[in-house]
Amino acid sequence: MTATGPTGVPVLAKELTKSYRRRVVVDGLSLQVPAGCVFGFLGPNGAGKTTTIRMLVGLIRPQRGAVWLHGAAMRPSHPVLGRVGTLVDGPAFPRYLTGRRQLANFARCGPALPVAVADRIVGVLDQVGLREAADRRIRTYSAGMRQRLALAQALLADPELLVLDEPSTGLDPGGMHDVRTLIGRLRDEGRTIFLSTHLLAEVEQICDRVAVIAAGRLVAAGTVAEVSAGTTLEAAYLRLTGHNGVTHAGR
Amino acid sequence: MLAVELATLVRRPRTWLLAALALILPAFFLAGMNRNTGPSPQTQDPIAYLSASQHGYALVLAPLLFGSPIFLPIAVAVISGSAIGADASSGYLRYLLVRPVSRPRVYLTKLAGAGVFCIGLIAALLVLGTVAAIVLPHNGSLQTAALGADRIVTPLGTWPYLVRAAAAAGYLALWLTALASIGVLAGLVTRSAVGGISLAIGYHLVAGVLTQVTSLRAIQPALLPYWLGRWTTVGNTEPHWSSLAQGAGCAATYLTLCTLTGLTLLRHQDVTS
Repeated sequence: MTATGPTGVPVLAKELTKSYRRRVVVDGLSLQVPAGCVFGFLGPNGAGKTTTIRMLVGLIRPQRGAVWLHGAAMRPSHPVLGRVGTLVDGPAFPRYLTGRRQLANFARCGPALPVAVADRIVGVLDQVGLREAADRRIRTYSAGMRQRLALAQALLADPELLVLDEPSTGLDPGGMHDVRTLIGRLRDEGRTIFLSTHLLAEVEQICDRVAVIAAGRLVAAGTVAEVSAGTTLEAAYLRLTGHNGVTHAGR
Repeated sequence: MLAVELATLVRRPRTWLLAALALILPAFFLAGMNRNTGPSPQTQDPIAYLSASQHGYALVLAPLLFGSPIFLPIAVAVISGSAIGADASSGYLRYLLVRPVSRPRVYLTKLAGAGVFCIGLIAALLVLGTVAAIVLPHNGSLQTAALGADRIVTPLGTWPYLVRAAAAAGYLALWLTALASIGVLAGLVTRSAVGGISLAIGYHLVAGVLTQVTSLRAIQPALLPYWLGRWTTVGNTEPHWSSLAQGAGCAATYLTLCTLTGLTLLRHQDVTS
């Protein structure tokens, strides 16, 4: 694996492969995420999305293949992760802390922020609409509030690249709208967002490019229009992932 | 990062509950000591003997005596077993590891946090003992003393006393930190706080039982609980420094092996939780 990849490419993955106990979870997956776009990553449950994301951010080592983030060959705890904000597999926090305290602790566990921590915390809490609940303990938060806090945590270091695994989970329609608006704004600021989601409507509204994974393999990649190939995204997705639908007896 | 870990530990209600438990029970024992009748003839331990007599400064170490067999190890096992175990089971560990902070540093910070808890507990118990020595009724002025053969109490200078007290406290701190290293490793291996706590307490209890089995004398020096009570030898006129050194060596070995194992595991482990 070369030490550096193309520096202008936020995410580059080549031939990623991962197996657990002889079950291949991700099989030779390659993808490239252009800078400054919202990249949708779609696939059914168990397709290997979360495993792929964990390999991208160094939580899991691939058995074959390699990942480069911003041109740096990924390994666990690589310094390039200071430029990456992550929301993987849902929120997780010590529940006895307040939201503000949790963000402060998280900020102090990594490289120093370029701005005052307190100001940055207020800023991200405003972005996700949690400022009023910031001083309540996390155990009192609803699922949607914990999801917002996880988003705030991902934004804390003002990252150039965001890797978000189903960021709208647990949010009501208003919250989903706010997340889509936030993602669009971040993209307009020049950031790159790698977005894993089940919500096809979300993909259609905000994603510039999309990749579809099924049974650990990349089955389609391109713009939404290219992947849809003249049909709806839903129809294309169901065809690509081999979903046969449910037959109703008596119809 | 250690400051964050310690601040989080302080904010956790469980920490204060365990500290209170580790302090209250020895306090009850201290209050119940009848120092007017003196020590019973069956009292073997020099610290217990001196505490029950009128040699007040031995009381400073008495809370360690009451706390060290059960309460301190349990408190340390809970804190250390949940240091990484709780983060692993809740999923927060993955967020700690996607930061540009090395995995060894994360592990060592968790272990250091547990170690500081051990030191803090011992310091709190010493403060409790000091308060007890001053407050509890005693005849005459407070003295520093040591216990020789045939229960003969000999005076001890202030500095020799302080050296012995420091040696006892340091020995216990090292022993408890060795137990904490077992707990932190167990939490990582089981990826759960319950698993980490259970394994640490289970080791202490089972190994403690094994140290009482006569036929297992050959392996007993390899068990951490075998060396737990050796610190009380500082109360003897002639402390068994070699025994203390061996116990410290055993504790240091456990601490080193468990830490190296944990570091290796965390460096190479896939984080799937």
